[in-house]
Amino acid sequence: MLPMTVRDNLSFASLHRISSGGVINRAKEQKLIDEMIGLLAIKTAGTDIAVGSLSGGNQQKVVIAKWLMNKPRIILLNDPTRGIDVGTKQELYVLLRKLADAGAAIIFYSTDYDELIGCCYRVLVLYDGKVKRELVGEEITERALIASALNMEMGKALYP
Amino acid sequence: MKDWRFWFAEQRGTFMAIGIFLVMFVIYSSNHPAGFSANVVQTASNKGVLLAFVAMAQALVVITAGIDLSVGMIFTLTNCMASWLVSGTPLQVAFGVIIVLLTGAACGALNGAIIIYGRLQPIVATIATGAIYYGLALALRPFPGGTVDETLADALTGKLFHFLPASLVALAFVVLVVWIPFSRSVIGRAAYAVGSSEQAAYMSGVPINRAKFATYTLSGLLAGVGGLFLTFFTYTGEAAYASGNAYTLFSIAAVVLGGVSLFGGKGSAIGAIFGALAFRTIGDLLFVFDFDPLWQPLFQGVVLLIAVSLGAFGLLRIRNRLDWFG
Repeated sequence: MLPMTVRDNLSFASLHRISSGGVINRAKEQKLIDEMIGLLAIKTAGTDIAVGSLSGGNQQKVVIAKWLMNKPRIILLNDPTRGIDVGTKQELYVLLRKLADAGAAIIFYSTDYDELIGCCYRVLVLYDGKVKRELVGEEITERALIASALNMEMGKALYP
Repeated sequence: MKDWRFWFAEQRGTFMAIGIFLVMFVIYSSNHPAGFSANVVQTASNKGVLLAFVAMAQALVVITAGIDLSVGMIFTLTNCMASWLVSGTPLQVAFGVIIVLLTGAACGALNGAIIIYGRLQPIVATIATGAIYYGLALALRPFPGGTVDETLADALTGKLFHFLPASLVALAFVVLVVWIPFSRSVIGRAAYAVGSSEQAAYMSGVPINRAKFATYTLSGLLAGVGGLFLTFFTYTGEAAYASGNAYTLFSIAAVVLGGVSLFGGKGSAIGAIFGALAFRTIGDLLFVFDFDPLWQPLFQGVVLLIAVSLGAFGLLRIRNRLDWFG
């Protein structure tokens, strides 16, 4: 829906929240949109500009904001930082922190070790269709992550 | 706050259609032997309004990236029905009008159901249903005939306060009760989303099927309103194959002229209405310039081509994809 406006795109996932009896409440919509643009610091020239004209990182933020407008309690993120620049990545981490502090449960899928180490309380590592290992707090290290991802015993050197 | 520049860019197609219409109408009325008078406006609007209703019906469907090739036939069918039903006592007339409109909506709903649940391509499905509707129309009126309540017909095709064409008021009323609520509703938003990208709309939890079904049904209803008005203008019902087909094709031309993208997700019914009025005026230009009527299709085609190309000049101006969105 790239040629459509930022406003339209942000509202799509939460149309039921901003409407009553099937009619959209423009004031309520605007309030939520302003809130989201503020929360995610989306850089846009206005809400009536096409999403396609924003930068990749800001488009990604619009997609995330679209769902956050539903005020979800559980958030599933599938590699949300793929293909966006370092600065925006940083902003996203801060946002996730904020959401978690506000009481949301975040399930975060990622292939980036540093990201997992930096963001997560608990990491479940999957191997061969099963949860191989659960790492909590201090245990989340790059070494532990890679070892369990490759299904190797911790502490054993591969070449003695 | 709304940024007017972006809003204007988004509605460019609609303004373009209004512009084309105004230019055409000024040329038309300034060359008309009777000049710019209430009667000229009334006749022009009576003719234009018919296509405007059908174009509006088409626009709704085109916004969802579909197409309805049966609008002309629904228009014909409701015309034939109205020539049977809309006469007699006031109560019978009222019932007749309601039944005619419901039939229009039901035809649209059938189209929608076939396209959504039958998963057929809109083009093929509506060609088929269009043929069915025409068959029904022919069964109702094998020969032109019938009547319509003349008081109601004259009231809706005459003038209000001696200058305002009643048919234009009726058109404005329909826009007010159908298009305005539609464009502000969840369904309306969803229709644009479906037209823009059905996949993305689905992923965003937009009620796709409900939106499509609603647009096809409303489209049928609007075509029915058009058929009803045709009956008011002609006082008869006629299952005219050529005219039904012409209305279908003209409605598509009017929609494109009105800035509604055939790829969906862009444009408005208001644009389509002005596209229809402009298209009608183009056809009538010929009479005021006193050409042989045989030239009408050729002339109409050339002017239409020029008008649509004007829109394409916008494309040439664009340097890159970002410009297109801006």
